[in-house]
Amino acid sequence: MKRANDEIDRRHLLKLGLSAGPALFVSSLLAARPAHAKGAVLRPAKARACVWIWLNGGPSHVDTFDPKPGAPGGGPFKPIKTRAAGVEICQHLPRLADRASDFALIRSMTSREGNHDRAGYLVRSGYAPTPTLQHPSLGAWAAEELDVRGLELPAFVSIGGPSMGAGFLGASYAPFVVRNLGRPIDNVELPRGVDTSRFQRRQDILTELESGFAAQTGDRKVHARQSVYANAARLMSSPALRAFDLASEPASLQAAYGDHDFGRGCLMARRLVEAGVRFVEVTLDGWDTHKDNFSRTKKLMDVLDEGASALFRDLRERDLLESTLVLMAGEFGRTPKINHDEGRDHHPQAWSAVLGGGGIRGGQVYGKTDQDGAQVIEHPVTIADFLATAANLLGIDPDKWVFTPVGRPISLTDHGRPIAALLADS
Amino acid sequence: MRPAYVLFCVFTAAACRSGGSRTSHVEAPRAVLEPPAFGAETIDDMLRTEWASRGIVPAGRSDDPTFLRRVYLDVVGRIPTLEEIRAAMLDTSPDRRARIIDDLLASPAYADRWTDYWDDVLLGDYVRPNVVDRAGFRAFLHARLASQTPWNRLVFDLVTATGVNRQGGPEPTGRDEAAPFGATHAAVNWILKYQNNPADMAGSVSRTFLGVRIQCAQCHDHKTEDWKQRDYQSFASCFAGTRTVRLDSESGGGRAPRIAVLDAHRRKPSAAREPELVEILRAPPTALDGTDLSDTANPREAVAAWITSAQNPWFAKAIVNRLWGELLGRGFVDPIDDFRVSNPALAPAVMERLAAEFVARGYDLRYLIGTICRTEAYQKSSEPALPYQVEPAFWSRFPLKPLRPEVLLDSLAVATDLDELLTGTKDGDLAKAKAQLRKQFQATFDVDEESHAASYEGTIPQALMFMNGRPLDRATHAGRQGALLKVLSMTGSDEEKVDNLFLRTLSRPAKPEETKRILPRLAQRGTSRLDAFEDVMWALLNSSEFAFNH
Repeated sequence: MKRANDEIDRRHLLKLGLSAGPALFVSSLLAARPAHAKGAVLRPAKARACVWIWLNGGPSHVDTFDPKPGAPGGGPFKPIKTRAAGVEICQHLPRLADRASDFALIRSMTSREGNHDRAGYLVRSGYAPTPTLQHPSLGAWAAEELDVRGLELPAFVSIGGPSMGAGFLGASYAPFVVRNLGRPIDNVELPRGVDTSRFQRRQDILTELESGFAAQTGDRKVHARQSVYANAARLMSSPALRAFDLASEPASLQAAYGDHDFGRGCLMARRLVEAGVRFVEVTLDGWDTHKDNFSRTKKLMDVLDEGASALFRDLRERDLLESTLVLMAGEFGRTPKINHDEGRDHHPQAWSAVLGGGGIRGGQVYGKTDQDGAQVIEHPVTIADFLATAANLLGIDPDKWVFTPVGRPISLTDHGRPIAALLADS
Repeated sequence: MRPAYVLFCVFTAAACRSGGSRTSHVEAPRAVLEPPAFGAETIDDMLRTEWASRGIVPAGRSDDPTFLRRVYLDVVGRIPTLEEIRAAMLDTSPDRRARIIDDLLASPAYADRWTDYWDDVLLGDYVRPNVVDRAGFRAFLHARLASQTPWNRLVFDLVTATGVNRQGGPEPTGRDEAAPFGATHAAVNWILKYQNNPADMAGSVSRTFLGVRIQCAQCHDHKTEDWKQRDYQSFASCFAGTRTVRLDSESGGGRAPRIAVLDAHRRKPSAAREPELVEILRAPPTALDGTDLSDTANPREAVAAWITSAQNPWFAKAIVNRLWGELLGRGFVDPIDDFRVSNPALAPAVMERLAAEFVARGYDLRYLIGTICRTEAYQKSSEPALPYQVEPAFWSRFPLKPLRPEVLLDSLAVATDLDELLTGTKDGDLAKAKAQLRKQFQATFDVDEESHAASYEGTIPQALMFMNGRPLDRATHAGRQGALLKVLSMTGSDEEKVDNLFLRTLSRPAKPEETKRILPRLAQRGTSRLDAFEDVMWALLNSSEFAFNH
């Protein structure tokens, strides 16, 4: 949430004669960084927005970004040269290879979570799931922390879903999930017989009812719901809604992104970023290749290569790449060992991720795995470090403490440190 | 005798009659002949002590309309109708709340509401219509809930289910191919959800029926608890002999194939491919308390008997905690299915006492729900006693509970006479129109994979649907039918009409300050009176007071 609105909300709460409870909660969210915060956050932020291409299922790093030709489990794919000197990636990612100067490749991601749900939660939020607290994802943090004054679209959009909620930050920072790219948003038009002035009258009556109920119960849930309603109403009348409509894009550009939902999702992501959306998640599902890894991974790479490379190029051509951080990662990598089903199983110990665009020094590889791709042997990167790097580029202080509803202080990345080597010279 | 007690005896007697071939494995429900020494008052005393010792000033008692709405939503899954509100208002006897609770528990709608609940808990968002016959499974649940099947019996039947998942299938080709697999038994649809994966099935059984998240030990030994990966594998091993057999080909005349679930010989560990499954097949079938079940003829049945036995340390507490949490917004243990040493219960003595009583009463779910609804805690106001005690600590005030999508839809139907509105529309068939609405609601309210209660606070698509979507639009049109038309054609003052609208939607009359604000709107220049009424209805249905149980 934008700061100005925080203030308004706080005043609003007080005006409603609310107890100190929710007001204290809001003010603690606004608490400044503690004095001992490490690593100064970048101000101004290098990136205004972030697109996270979420590779759901956990892609095989060995078959994509960390080729191991000649290793026993290296698989049939050949490496190819990229724009970046000395950097090779899989032959089935030729267009991305051609854009390698736009991104940095981390080959030393490492974690301990090998279960999809738990790892997906960890990679998106920085925390392993605990039954006692629901953590927000990076996207939700961005929606809460970044200045979105004047933005009429949701700050956080997830294309393809399912995504992860905003945890303790509350429903107002949860992703707006687009499932059907053909018809991204239902019910944005007023029903027949209701014009804007009548809609306003309806809203006025509703506001009166809500104020009474909020004052009576003093419950935060009422305010959360009200703020969702306000955002929904704003969205209805917004010209920014056009950002969801791909039809106005030239046919040649639509074709470049590829004739698949992932490509269309990437194109929508670019339009949303252009319109001021701060965090877009585009999901490419299907990487959980316990069986038939090679044919399936190849098909997915064709799709990824087309959509993601078009996104990099399009952002670059519109001068948006410098202000847009593009991430590519799933929940983990896959075993260097090939199983009985020509598949690969979960492998969180060592895997790859991509960071490109805003504030990243592209054309480089960071970290290294052993000859099989089984273990990290150089510059291990934890999830916390990865998220801290991304947060820092977005101008979010990864060390800032906020208080959860039960009063437990917590920071975004659990002491992650931004990786200096990945950052472009400022 | 108190009505509750009579009711209880009836239930217990019915439960005893509904025995089956497997009763030997199940703790027989015992009829209690002595009048109860335990009741909601016992819980009240215990909680008052908690409040006093913690300096908590509890909220006051809810007023009658609030309580009526609350208990309708919780027990039968919808708001009360205007007629039901009026009837309840006439009752001034001191035990009127208890009577309402008992009436609702005895009404057919009880099974409807709790079928929705258990369908959601057990099958959840799982949608593979070609595998799971959801309608059949719901019918199974509904029949068991309506016939007051004791909880231990119901769980035993679920966990041990074998047979064919659905009736029908393609036309028989001479002989009935399903015959060797036993009769149709829709409970197996729940087993089919786990796709022959004993690990998932074990995790779900443990979490749902025992409140123990053993599956956390699936990947590693639990850091703070006693659970080891080995415990998990041994427990999962109890389910490793369960097989499914597809009886019809996939494309059998466009109908979903029948699938049979049976207990077969366990595979040899060497026959399994997945390393995880190899470990499970190697492990001796063992209950979570270490009881070795490897010598039993059917480990799945043996573990079901262990789960549902009166000696099981978690079984009764888990359901008590679950229903307490469902009704009061927070379980003793929170989350409701996470019992462990490092997650201690609030007021554990209350939970244990209630669990013991639940067992003594023959695992009667209605007894449990009825008792919780009778407690002072359940009947508290949602208005905090002191402005800074907003958190409903120790259930000292009633929390705001977002309505589940199906409850919200059914309440919307009551408030607007949706049935009338839907008949005669181009949607034609009423049942079909309602089913479609239900689907639309569920899709809109399904935020992410784990639709936590917090998500029900609302999302933008939900708000848009309520503000502009077809169901609401139709409901707020004073057309030829529906609630709004009835209100408008009432004789009486506008004040009475406004009250009527409030009663239909929020189950209470308008407050004086609300009436004062609304009346001028009905006579506003430039707005038709009809439009103004529609706008009030729109606002009521979009209000938080409507969207929450409070």
